[in-house]
Formats: sequence, C-alpha cells, structure tokens
Amino acid sequence: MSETILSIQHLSKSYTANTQVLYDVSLDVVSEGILIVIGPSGAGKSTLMRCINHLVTPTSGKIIFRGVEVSSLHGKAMREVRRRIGMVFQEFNLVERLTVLENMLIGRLGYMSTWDALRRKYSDDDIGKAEAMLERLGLAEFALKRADNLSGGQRQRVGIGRALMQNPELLLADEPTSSLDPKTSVEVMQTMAELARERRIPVIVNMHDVNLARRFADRIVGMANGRIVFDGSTEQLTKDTLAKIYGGDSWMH
Amino acid sequence: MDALTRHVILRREKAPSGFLPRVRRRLMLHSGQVLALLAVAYVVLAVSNLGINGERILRGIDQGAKFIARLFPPNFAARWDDIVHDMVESIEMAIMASVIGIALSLPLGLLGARNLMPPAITWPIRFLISLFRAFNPIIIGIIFVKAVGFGPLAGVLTLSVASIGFIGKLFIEAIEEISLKQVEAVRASGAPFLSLIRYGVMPQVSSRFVGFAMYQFDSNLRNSTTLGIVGAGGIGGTLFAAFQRFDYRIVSAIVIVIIALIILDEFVSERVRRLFE
Ligand SMILES: Nc1ncnc2c1ncn2[C@@H]1O[C@H](COP(=O)(O)OP(=O)(O)OP(=O)(O)O)[C@@H](O)[C@H]1O
Ligand SMILES: [Mg+2]
Repeated sequence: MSETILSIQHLSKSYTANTQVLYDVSLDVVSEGILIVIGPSGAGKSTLMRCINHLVTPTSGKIIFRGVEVSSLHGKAMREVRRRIGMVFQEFNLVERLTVLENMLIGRLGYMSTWDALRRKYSDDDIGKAEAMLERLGLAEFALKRADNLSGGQRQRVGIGRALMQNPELLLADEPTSSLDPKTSVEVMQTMAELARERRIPVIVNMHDVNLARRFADRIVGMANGRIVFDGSTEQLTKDTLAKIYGGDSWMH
Repeated sequence: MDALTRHVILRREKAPSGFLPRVRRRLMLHSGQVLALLAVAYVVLAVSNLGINGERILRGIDQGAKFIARLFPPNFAARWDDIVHDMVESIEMAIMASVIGIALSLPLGLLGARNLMPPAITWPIRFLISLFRAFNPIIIGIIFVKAVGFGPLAGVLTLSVASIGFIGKLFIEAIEEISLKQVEAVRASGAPFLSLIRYGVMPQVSSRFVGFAMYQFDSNLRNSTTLGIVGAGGIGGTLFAAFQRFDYRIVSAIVIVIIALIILDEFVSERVRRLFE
C-alpha cells in the first residue's frame, strides 16, 4: 500500500508577467520509489522541483506535502517543511571552503538553534551521524578535507549525504548526474537509490539521460513546454512518447 | 591601445575615405598619446598659473634645506611622557574605531548586498555608506570635534565613520560576488536566516573580510596620527603644537616614533594576514 505523500495541484508559475513557465501542472507522488522527470531544456523541470520546497514561489496552485499546504506556510513552519525535504543539486552546491564533515552537518542546520549554528556547536549525536554517513558513502577518510578538494563523484556523494542528514521524508534531485561521467553517474544513482530504498522515502529526479532514467525509474514523467505530457512506467516510454516529449525523432538516430 | 583593438579599428575604418573619417581614425588609434599630450599641456599651464617658476622653486629648496638642518638631532627627552601618552591614545583610537567600524560594517554589508536584499533595504544602506566615504577624515573630524568636543572620542567616531565608508563598500562588493548555489543549498536544508548567512555566505567571504579589516586597521592607525591636528585626539595634536612653537627637534622625534609604529604595524599585519590564509 502506498499513500500519497506529495500532491501538486494545478501549479502554474511565471517568473515575469508575460512568460509562463509552468501551466496547470498536477502530480501525485506516493511514499516510495523513484520518479524521474525528463524533458527538453527549458521545459520547467527545475522550476517544478523548486516550487515543491518553495525555493521558488508558485504563481498559483497548491503544493500539499503530507497533508499540509506548503504555500500557506511562513517563517519557521516553511523552514520545517524544507528540512523534511532533502535536495541534491546538479553542481553539488557544497560550501567549498568548509570541510566535508561540516558540509554533512549543514543538513542538521534546520534542527539546530541559530545560536548553536553561529558558534558551529554541533551535538555529539549529529557529529556521530555525519561520520556514520560518510563511512557509508565511502568518504570517511575525506571527513576533514575541504569540500573543493573532492572529485565530482565524491562531491555528489557528499551532496546526497547532506540531504539525507536532514532525515527527509522526500528527496529531490535536480540533474544529480549531469556534471558526472557515465560510470560515476550510474554509481551515484545507485547510491541514491539504495539509500532512499533503505529509508523508504520517495525520490524525484530531474534527468536528461533517457537510458539512465529507464534504468533507475519506477515511474517516468515527461515534461514539455511547462506541461506534463507523459506519465507512466519505463515500458510505456516508447519512441513515440519520446518524440512527443522532445519534439520530433530526428535526434534519436 | 592593444594590438587587437588597433586591428579591429583599422579593419572597420578601412572603407571610409575623405578628410573627417581619416582624422577620426587617427584620433582613435592615437587616443593614448593625445591624452598624454593634453595632460602635459595642462600641467605646464597650471604651474605657471600658480606662480610656480624657477625662482620660486630655488627659494623653496633653500628654505627646505634650512628646515631639514633644524630637525636634527631629534629631541626625544623633552616631551617623552607626552609622546608616549599620545601615541598610546592614537593606537587605542585606531583599535576601537576598527572594532566598531568592522562590527557595524558586517551587518551593513549584508543589508547592502543586492543579491541578498530587496532594493528598499539596499538603497538606503548604500547611500549611507557612500555618504560616510564622501568626506576626508579630517573634515569628518572637524565636524565631530564641534559635535562632541575635543579629544579622542571625536577621533574614534571619525575613524569609525571612515571605516564603515570603506570596508562597508568592500564587504558589499565581496558579498555580491558570492555563488548563490551554495546559499540555495543551505536554504533548502531549512536553516534559519542567520544560520543561512553563517554557512551560505560567510565562508565564501571571510578570508577577504579579514584582509579588508586588516587594511582598514592600517589606514585607521595612520589617520589616528593626524586627527590630533583638528583636536580629535592622538599624537597629531602634540606634533602640530611642536610645529607651531618651531620646536623642530621635537617634531622630528615624533615623526620617527610614528615611522617606527607604522613599520611595526606592517610587520604585525603581514603576520596576521598569513595566519588567516
Ligand atoms: N530565476 C528565473 N528567472 C526567470 N526565468 C527563469 C528563472 N529560472 C528559470 N527561468 C526560465 O524558466 C524556463 C524553465 O526553466 P527551468 O530551469 O525550469 O527548465 P529545465 O527544464 O530545468 O531546463 P534544463 O533542462 O535546462 O535544466 C526557462 O525558459 C528559463 O529561462
Ligand atoms: Mg534544470
């Protein structure tokens, strides 16, 4: 049995008055599995993802996360929702001048008081969790290295670890493998899939690599021009649907 | 003008013939030389206008030589207690003003950064900082002496204002250059506002901030030795008094102490800078 954990209802977004990026998007996400969103550049994938945790404010429509309408929240309540949603980025977005360990601990900032955060005073429990997570990711030896000393694949593992340190109930990943080579991409996706499965949390991933998407997705959503044009299983993702998502099929040959 | 620009201009201007386009092309190609020529012409004109001529310069050299002769030997003993007291006052003024200036510049820098704050906040903050930077410390010093009276309080206020004017601006510029990606990631973790600043913004700018702060301390130390001239405390007052009494040997003693202080400061700040790298 799988309950709906996230419900996006009639979501629209315009950054400026006369350019609409999302048109009436509706999508329900259940409590487990990997949902991969594909679609051409500019389709609105990143915008949709950032509307979920309100890094971008929707123009209209509702985001309902675990029964709470996110758009109605402010301040502390909004931050608590963000804390419950982990996010992984294309360019890792680590704080480069801090150590790998402290980057992991950034995942705990949503739980820490400002006063403790300003003094960088982490609880022993949090430090223990961060170390265990680094161990798990095979990065224990890098704990005290500065984040900008790592390779792309290692950085993205830190990015995933940081997001999981939030103890999230949902994981968002915006093109987590687009800055990585094909082999590392698969390894990073495997790590993410494995950790999400263990924690029984759903993952939404934006991706350009259709083959990688087929390999990892439990469900695929295709977006074009700010609308959802496909929603189904990997088997249902035929050449015709791909042509519909990306416009034409000349690129496939 | 570099070779590429020259090449582009030559190519673009190949087609037109006739007198005017050719003159314009020459002017563009030689704009550097033309400017230098104009500058030289201006200096020549200005010098004769100010009554600076051969005879005046010779008279100046003569007087300068006499002055230098009267500076030696420096007399440290006569006013040693005053010198020490005023030097300590200068240093204290510089330290206090640096601490106050830096402490206030931090929040002002964050509030003035256009990539973090809306225009309604950045605009007044940036205006205030420009205003603080608009006047030479001596002028601000005169104003504060009138406002709060003679003494080091006026000096500390003056140097604080000058500090905010300069490092406030540098802080804003540094913050406006940060990567917002790191900020976005910290925001996505649900961090409260000040934690976001602490982790998303500060690590990206802190080493540059230390550099700016050290630079401002150097500057405050130098300025704290002159503010006494307008009565705002520090060694400058004693120096100025010695000048007015024609006690040139005391003047030279004070100048030597100031030089020693500045050399010491260079040495220390170099060390501190390396510590933070
Ligand atoms: N902050 C912003 N301000 C204004 N316009 C934006 C902003 N972010 C995105 N856009 C515009 O919104 C549209 C959708 O962008 P979005 O980044 O959501 O697409 P995407 O599907 O993620 O593309 P990609 O695959 O290239 O990452 C684009 O036309 C983009 O120019
Ligand atoms: Mg995108």
